[in-house]
Amino acid sequence: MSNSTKKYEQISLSSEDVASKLNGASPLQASRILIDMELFEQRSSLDVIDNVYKDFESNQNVVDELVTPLGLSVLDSVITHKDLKLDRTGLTASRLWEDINCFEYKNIHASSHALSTKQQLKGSRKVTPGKRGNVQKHKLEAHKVKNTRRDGTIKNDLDGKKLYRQGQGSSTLNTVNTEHLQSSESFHRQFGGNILLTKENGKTIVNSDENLASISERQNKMKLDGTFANIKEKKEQLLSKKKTTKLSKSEQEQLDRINESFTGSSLEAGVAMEKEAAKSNFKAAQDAAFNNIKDNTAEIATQASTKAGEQTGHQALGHAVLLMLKPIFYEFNDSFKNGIDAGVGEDSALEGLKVRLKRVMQYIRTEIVPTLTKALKDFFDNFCKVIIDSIIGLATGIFKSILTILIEGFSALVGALKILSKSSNEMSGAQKADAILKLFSATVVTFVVFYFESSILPAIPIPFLQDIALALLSGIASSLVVYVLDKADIFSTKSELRTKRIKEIFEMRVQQIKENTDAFETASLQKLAEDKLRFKALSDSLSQSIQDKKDPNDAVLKIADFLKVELSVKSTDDFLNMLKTQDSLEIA
Amino acid sequence: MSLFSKVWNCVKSTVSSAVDKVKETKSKVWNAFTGKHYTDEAEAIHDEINERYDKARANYQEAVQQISQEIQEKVSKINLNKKEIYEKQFERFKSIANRIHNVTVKGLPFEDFFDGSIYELNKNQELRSKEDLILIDFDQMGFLETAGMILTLGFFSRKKAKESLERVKQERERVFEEIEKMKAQQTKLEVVSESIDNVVTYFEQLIKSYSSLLDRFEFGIQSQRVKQSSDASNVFSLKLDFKLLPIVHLEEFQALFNLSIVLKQMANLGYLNSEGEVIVKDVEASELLFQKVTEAKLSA
Repeated sequence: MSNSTKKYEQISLSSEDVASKLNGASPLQASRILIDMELFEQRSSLDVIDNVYKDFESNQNVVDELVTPLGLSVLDSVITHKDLKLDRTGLTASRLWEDINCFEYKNIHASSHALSTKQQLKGSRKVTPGKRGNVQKHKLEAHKVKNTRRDGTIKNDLDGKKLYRQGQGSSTLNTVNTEHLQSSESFHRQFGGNILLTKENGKTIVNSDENLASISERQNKMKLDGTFANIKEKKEQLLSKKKTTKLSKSEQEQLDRINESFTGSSLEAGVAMEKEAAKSNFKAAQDAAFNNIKDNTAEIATQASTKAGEQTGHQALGHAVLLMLKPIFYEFNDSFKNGIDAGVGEDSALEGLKVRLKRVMQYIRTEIVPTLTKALKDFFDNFCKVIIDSIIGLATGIFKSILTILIEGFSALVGALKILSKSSNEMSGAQKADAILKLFSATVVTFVVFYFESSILPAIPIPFLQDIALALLSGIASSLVVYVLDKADIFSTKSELRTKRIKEIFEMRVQQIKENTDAFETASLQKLAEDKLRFKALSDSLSQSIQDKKDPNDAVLKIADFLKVELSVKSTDDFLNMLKTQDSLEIA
Repeated sequence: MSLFSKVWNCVKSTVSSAVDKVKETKSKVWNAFTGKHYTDEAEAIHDEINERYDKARANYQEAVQQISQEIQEKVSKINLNKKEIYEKQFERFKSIANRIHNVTVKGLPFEDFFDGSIYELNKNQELRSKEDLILIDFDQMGFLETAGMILTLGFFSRKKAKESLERVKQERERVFEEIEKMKAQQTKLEVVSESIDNVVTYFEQLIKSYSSLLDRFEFGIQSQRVKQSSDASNVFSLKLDFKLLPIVHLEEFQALFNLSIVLKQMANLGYLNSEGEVIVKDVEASELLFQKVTEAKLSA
């Protein structure tokens, strides 16, 4: 608040300001300086009122006041649902809310990020590190045999040089090693905890031809469980250090070794292959997970040691629901900020809503549904359709029959009159209005939700999804009603708040004008009195010297000094000199 | 019979008072329903601030007029002093000093003026009228509007009436600022008037001292003239020889010269607004004029 108040502040004038301005100039200038001093700003008070009205028109705070609590409560009801136990995975409503606020359609990484989070489900299982059990020697050998050329040598996949089988090469530089591009360790770290993948899946993927490459023994030893990218980084680090300072002996050796092992652009080639392999492994893991759900649920169920298979499905659905909430909340945030219709260039609120929800459905179909297992896909797609149809039905109901709803909520009106009749000491006008708004929306929401329970919920078979749908829809319904009521501003809460704000601002401004005027009056009157006294003393001494036939020059100089008038002739010698040299004395 | 009439009267009075009560309550409820009580309050507040604003404005205008007049008087005094400096004091100084040395005066006195109009109130800032602020007029409402009001449960009329009330309340805060601004302006004018007093004193005192110093100087020069002409072989010599003057007269001459510079600057200065300052172009023009006049005098 203090920040937004700043732009309404009056200019401030301290007595020090006044005094310093007056002291810096000749007493002759005092009147003009005083006239030019501003005790209040030039901006008109009408402008101030206009600006406050403008501030109220921009709907920034509606989102905070309305949508945030609503969103948090909906998310909370999803996360803490007893069938889902999503809270055990470390999710919190507020963290998710932040995530939702950053949502943008353009953000393509959203889906892949969401996918990996979903698949990893880290919270429930621990990954034991250092697991090399996935390496299958016979596959490495097979790879080697497959790549051996007619002359018994193997091509180095990095630099194309000739490599020899173990014992045939002259050094580690030309002895072949079959290498995992994405190390078994790193793959395990990424997917080991995935309940949708079996151990066998991991082995197949890690030891697939896509993940294997023939390189020299030396190259392999330098890499170990690291990556080519690590080596490249190290090389660049050493090179850049070399540019500025001299490398130590061991550092220089390191650099030489890297250059010796990786000639030409072989290091870059390695980095590229590594990336390619990681990508194809990810894809393979995804496919394997989908197939597992489709064909082999029983095995996954045993794989997910502590969870029943059905629960796994529930959690996956729960995550998908949370993903679905992102675009929905994004649309509501945007609607309240930019208007349901204007934000997407439509004329009516209902049309705008339809366009927005279409966009949401599109997003869900292209970004969320493909990440789900086959079994869940159709189901989730259906669920989203029901939800979105319901939102449209809900909004249509509210917009088309706002008066009916208000009349239906007549009991709310009676309650409202009761609140209105309370004395103003008990409840301020704005508070009354607020309470009434709540009363209204509560009544209206029960009315709307009743309609849902009877017509839409039977379309959703799973009980926990019914709970979520109810929470989501009633939340959206109440925010819609409150939004409509807020737009209509039936009890003029806005204008009352506006008055409060305007009162605050003007009280502050009036206080500042008072302070400015006080400072101005005190400081300037004091200075004027001082000037008066000082001049009287000087003037008296001048007339005294004239009367007493004494030299008046000293008094004259002092007066000129007081009035800040510059004089070139300071002594009688100066004056005599002037008489001698100048034909005419000039008063200038 | 009498018992019946007694009972009847009793019933009648009870009924009629109940009817009154119902009427009263009804209008109260009706007003609350339509929101008319809001506009009633709005009008009351508007009347109150109108009275307050009018009073403040009247006080301000009266005060400003009076102070402006005071300042005007002081300014014309200053203008007269400025003129006197050039037309009387400087002429006298020149004529006396010319017996010793040529003296010229540059520039022209500047005439100050006080523009009281800047303290007039801006019409746009004044209290806005009831018509501007109160959005709904229950007294001028037609049948259709009344019917509409009933059909919409009074929502819209209440909203408009409430809005009107809030607008008037906001206007009250704004007008408070305007009233405070008037007070500030009035204080400022009073202080400015005070500061002009000082300037008037400066002029009066310095002119007085200048004049008496001129008297003293003239007397001294007069006696020196008698002395020097009796001594000198050339009686027609126009100028006194300053080298032969007693130091006391040279000191007087010097003091007068310096004081002339002070007075000249004071006469050239504008005290109330920047337009009052001597513009360089004016000075040059006046110098040119002065030269021409002198040349004309010489040739004549």
